[in-house]
Amino acid sequence: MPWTESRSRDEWLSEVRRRGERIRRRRRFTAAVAGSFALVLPLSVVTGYLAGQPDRGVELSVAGPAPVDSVPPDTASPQVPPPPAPADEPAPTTTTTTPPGRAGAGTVSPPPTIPSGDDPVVRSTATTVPLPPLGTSSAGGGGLAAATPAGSSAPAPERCVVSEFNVVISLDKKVYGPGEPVSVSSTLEKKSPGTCLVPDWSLWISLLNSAGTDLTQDAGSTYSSNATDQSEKRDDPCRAGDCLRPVGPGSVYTATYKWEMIDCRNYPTGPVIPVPPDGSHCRPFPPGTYTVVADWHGPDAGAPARATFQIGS
Amino acid sequence: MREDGSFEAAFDELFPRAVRLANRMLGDRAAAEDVAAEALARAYARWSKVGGLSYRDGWVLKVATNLSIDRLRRRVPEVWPQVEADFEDGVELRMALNAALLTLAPRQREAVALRYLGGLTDQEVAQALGISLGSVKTHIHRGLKRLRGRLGAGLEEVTPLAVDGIPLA
Repeated sequence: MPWTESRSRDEWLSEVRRRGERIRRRRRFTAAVAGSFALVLPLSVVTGYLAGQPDRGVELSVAGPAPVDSVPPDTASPQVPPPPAPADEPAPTTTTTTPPGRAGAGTVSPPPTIPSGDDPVVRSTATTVPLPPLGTSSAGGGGLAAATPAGSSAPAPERCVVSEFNVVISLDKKVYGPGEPVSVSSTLEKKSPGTCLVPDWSLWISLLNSAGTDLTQDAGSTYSSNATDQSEKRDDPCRAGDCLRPVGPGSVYTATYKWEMIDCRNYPTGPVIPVPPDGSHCRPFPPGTYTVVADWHGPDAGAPARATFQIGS
Repeated sequence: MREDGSFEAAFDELFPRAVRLANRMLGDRAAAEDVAAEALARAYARWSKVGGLSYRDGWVLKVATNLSIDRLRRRVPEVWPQVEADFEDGVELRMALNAALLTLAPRQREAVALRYLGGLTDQEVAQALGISLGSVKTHIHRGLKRLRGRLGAGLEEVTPLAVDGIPLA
């Protein structure tokens, strides 16, 4: 076995074990500190409250009815906190809801019936919401739904189903000038009330021209998302099919792209010349209709969603 | 201890693989050994769970890939070769390749690195990343397309069709 020149196999094995034990100790310490903090904090809150009530004797009973003047119990039911709102979610001017199953891509139909908020599991149709005038937000589209508190004695949540979710694509404008950057975000949004367990779903956005050519990698993009790679965030590694986390109504995933909309595919020919770093060979994408596609990835994921925008002359 | 015995066997197989993967990304043997040691140490710390995984190898190599990427980020800003750069120079080519890898989306980067630098099959990559086989192929396809675009159309004129196993033409 070709071991390294710096150390022998046994030396490396010892080093690995030493580092591994250190990681274990650090995790145990962190867990112990977190556990202690969780115990100390409620006690300090109670103690602080009682300290502000000088005429009151403290009687904490483990069982039986609470004294009349005792500290009021915490009646809040354990709830799954709603997912945090996307930090900079733009006012959506273009939205597309995803069909419930793997319907054919590119379906365009007359304006949709916006699902009723009272229907817990709504089967949305494949639609493209007509673009509203610039500056207004579309109806029933993106943004967070109001969180519905879970029942205090609710059974364990079940695995999420695709029909409980919308994929919402939001663009900052409807029509852009040549070379003008396009900001687009795609949000996976739980529209049904209650809590369910969502697997490791993610959204990947593509950009197509009117001929259906994929321009995503050529448009010059920056990308960010609030995706959680659950296999890395958890102590016990898990795969997408096993990584389940509880989510309530609202956004559970957001991916944001900013495309520069410049075509840098026509590299110089002739002698070998790498891509000029100054981008002098790039040209703005031509006027026309472009399509944003949000592909829904992960186990048992839904169909992609689409939205269009124009580049004017 | 049985657990430790199984780790030793896995260590003998995985440490050299992790060193090779990291070395292909970092071009620095000492740094690659350190990355491999850290990846195996993290596996050791969780061996009661990691050791039993069907995608154990992919898990370790994925950690090694991400540690290598972290080092690349700290070490090398995104510097493109100069116009007169000589791509016949393997060092400059690796620098360009590493810089191009950093521009990929996270999953694309992991998929490409595990597939071509880690030597995993598409199925093993899918297991390691916890995604479907179709998603792996999509990520690799897009990642390679972007790498080819970044490294220039004229690259194949002077270099083999692949660099470090990554097909560039």
